Amino acid sequence: MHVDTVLLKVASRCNLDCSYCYVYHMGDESWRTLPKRLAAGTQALVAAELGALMRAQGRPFSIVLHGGEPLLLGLPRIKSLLTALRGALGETCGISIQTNGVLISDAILDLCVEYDVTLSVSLDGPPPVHDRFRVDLRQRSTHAKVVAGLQRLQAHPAAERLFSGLLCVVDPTSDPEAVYDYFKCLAVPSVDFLYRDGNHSVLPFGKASANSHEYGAWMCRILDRYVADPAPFRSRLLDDMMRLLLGGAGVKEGIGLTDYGILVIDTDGAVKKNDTLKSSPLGDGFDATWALGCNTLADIAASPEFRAYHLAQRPSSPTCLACPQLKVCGGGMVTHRFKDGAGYDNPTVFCADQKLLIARMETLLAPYLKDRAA
Amino acid sequence: MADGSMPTKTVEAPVPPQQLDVPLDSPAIRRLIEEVRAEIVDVPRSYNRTFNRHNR
Repeated sequence: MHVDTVLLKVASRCNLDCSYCYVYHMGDESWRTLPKRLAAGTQALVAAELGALMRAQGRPFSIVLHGGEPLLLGLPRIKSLLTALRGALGETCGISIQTNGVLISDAILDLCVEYDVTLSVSLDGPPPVHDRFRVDLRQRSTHAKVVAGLQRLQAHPAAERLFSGLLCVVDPTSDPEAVYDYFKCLAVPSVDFLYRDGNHSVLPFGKASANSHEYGAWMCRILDRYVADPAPFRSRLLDDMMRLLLGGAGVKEGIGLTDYGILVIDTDGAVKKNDTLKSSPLGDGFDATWALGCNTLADIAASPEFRAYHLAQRPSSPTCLACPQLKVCGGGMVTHRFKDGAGYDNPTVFCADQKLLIARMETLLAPYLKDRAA
Repeated sequence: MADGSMPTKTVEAPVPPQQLDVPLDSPAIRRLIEEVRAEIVDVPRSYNRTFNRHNR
């Protein structure tokens, strides 16, 4: 296996208090004891280890500065971190920042240009949709501040290079056409839709049961808007699923059967599993306690326990293995497969949603597939 | 928490496939078909995990 994505937690705290966040509101309390920010000494260690990992595996990976809110690291420390990362990795690795957008400043944007870093901004839709869940620490709305940051980003002379797109967490009770049209008005390059976290024992918000398809119905209406749009933004979830139906490959975790290699480094330098596993009771920790300075990333990535974590992404449920849609669905994200007493050996809790969405895609693509076959 | 404090619209069931007005000239689908064809001949994809990563 190889690592293709490193989620580098540079701040363990956030300036927002989104009620659905898997870091703070789904049972994991580890953030309370982590360093608030990635310390200078840890930065240097992380950069050196990532450089060694890239050389050991012979291929680059993507680095995402993540949190909490990564911009809480502050401009000077972000600059020193990017200097260290580029010094160790050169220009071959993509570096991006996943931010809530509130702290975007011209100085941050200029720094990102200098170090060839892209930004993705979390925005869930128009004010009533976004502010329902994405509130600040005093439970106040944040939409206006996020859009101000977004507009600063879009007004930057290097916006086309800097701005990779939006991340939108789906509210299945919202109006999907209104959400789509709102993003169109913002003229964003892409929107990646994410389902709310949950599992068979704690259902995601808005799902009446594991067999209901509220998210699938919502996404079908987004899909209809998308394929009818004369100038659509990109949508990674929809693109990946339709590309797989067309015989191509996907790149999104939890879609298709391509393996992904995600490694997470916390602000204390500890190596963790995919952080979304915080939303299930088994959590995101390894049995082994690994820390940079004591273990090399290359050794950790080559260890049996890390390999077992890597292989666990492959769907194992008999229901999935017998499903004709598996090559597109991929069994979903591991954290969404959890069920009390059965662990992760289940279909995703969004199984019915994905079946509905795939069926809709097959209908839409049928004329094209027929055209290609002719 | 802000949950439940804002008015929302209940999602309606999608239109049945047989009633769907399939757009035969969909730019999104045309682009995807071209990207899949490009992949077949090893042309780099328009985005990939290494260089265009979002959250997860």
